[in-house]
Amino acid sequence: MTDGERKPLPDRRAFLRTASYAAAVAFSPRIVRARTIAGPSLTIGLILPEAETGASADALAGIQLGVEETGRSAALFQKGVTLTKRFFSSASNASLTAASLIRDDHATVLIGGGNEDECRRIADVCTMLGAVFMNVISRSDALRRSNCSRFLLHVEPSAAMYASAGRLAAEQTSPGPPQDCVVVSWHPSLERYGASQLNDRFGASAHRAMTGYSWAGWMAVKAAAESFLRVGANDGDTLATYMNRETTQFDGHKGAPLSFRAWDHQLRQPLYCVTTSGSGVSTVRDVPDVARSPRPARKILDELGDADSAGLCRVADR
Amino acid sequence: MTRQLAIVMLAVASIFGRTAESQRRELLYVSNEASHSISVVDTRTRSIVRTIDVGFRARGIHVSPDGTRVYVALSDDVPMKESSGDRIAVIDVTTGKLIARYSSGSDPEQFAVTPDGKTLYASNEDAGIASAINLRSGKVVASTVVGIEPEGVAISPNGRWVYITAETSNTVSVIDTRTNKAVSTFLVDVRPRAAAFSPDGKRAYISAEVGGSITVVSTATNQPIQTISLEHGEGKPVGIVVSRDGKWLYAANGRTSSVSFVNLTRNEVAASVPVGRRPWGIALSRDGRTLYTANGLSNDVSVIDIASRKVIATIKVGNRPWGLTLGYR
Repeated sequence: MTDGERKPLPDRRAFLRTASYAAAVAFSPRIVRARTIAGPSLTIGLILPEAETGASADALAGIQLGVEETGRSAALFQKGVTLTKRFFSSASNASLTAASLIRDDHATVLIGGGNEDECRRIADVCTMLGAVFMNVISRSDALRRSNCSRFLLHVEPSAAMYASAGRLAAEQTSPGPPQDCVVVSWHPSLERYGASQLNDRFGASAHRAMTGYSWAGWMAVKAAAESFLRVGANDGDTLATYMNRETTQFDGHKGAPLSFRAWDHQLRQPLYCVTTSGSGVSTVRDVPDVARSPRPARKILDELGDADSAGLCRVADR
Repeated sequence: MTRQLAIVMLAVASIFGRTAESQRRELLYVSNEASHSISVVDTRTRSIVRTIDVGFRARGIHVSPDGTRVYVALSDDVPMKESSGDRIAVIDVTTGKLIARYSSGSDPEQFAVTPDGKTLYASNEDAGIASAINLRSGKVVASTVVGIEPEGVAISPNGRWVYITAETSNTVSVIDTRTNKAVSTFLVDVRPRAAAFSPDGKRAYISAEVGGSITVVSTATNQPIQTISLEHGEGKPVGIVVSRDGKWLYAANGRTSSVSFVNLTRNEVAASVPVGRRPWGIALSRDGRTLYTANGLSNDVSVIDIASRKVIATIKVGNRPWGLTLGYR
């Protein structure tokens, strides 16, 4: 926050949530702020609902491939990436599960999520304890607009991004009969920019096709582990600082450099419009088509979903 | 034979030798990934003199140090598994015939040959390893674990070090050719594709496609010392080649369909030359005056005059040209 900017007052519900976590931290001697753990390893905590959904199962498979691959990369530097899995049974249990991953398992990055409320609770605990939470499930715009924290990063695109991409796809449709277009964040038929290699590796590892949630899970691990190797530290504070930095960028086999937007901590990324013909053949188009535009990729991607002009998190970050 | 006569004969032989050398035909070998073939182009007439069917996806392609053979990395379309299609094909430059297929490990993409011509190092993309292949026996003699999705391969001018880039892990692994072990790994800019050494071996250059940059590496420490941004990060370099005097680096920007001229004295971009669509492979003529790019989406080769920084000819080749190398006959 810069001089002269004021942090908005939290609403009543947020205040109560924060107060209850503060009490939990105060009365539990076992809860400590996440810190650099001795030993050259990054511990990632997987946090997903106990009741398995399609999204959570897909994300889990992506996270597992990500940990396997980044573990191999880290080994080249005599470092490690490990995964601890915990599942929550309810929204109220989500915060305790997050705290346990940080406190007991020494995870400094949590990856997963649930519905808006569950994500909010996990994010609050992470912010309080200084661990990074990478949401790969919830598309809630409200979550991105109100829960501003540099410790909360969204890899799964927001609902607003999907809606923007749908509108763009409709505008770009060539003359002819209208075709139904489904907007996705990944598709198993993608080939360019190393996408076919990633789809192949995922297929060999998970014995299923890679979906958007799988990609988000894989991407979150990749971004976290890569940050860990580049900064040489595994504490949540350093990792959050690096991942939010304006100059930090990642590759996710989508062609464009991917980075987190300052105003909603959302990963900049192209989406895809999938049309399926009567014979079942899918045609996948980039939306927006960054490669064909003469404009800088970042500028184009910033127009997807909530724009910077909404002035969301810049002044409200915790 | 008197000493004077011997000197005169040597001088005559030398003159004829040089004339013969200059009259050797310069041939450009282009690997066509989709048409599973090699187009052989006479650079003087800029016409195809032969098309060699190789039966599988042809990607990395390099001439041997003695100029007698051309090696081509072939792979099949079956991912994550080595098959009979995954090979290094050997082409005899004199006859233009495919004379052997060597083992290569799974899915070979790029490779480089040691200056003594004895060993070839290939990146095995889907296996995450690099294979060392003995070019006398045609057998894999060592496999070394490198980063995820390895691609670019370069060997230092003294033949001691092999740099292997890995696209997904953003790493470069350094292999010691004496032991075939990885002795160092370092991180570079995002999505590294190709590597090249300076002629004196003191610097290495790594193209980063998504990062839109060239990473300059000190080979004494195996650490990046500078990043040169191409077209404000919007250049998307894949293939790179360094001039023989070490003063220039030429980078083929696949997605922006251009070649960047990078001044290595100042480590900055001096010019950008538009070429055909999606250039990946790039090669420099022996006299250092001409560049060639393999343009994967326009199915052609751009011929660039370095002095004027202009494309002076375009040569149609096979489908999805990937790489190219120059040989002499």
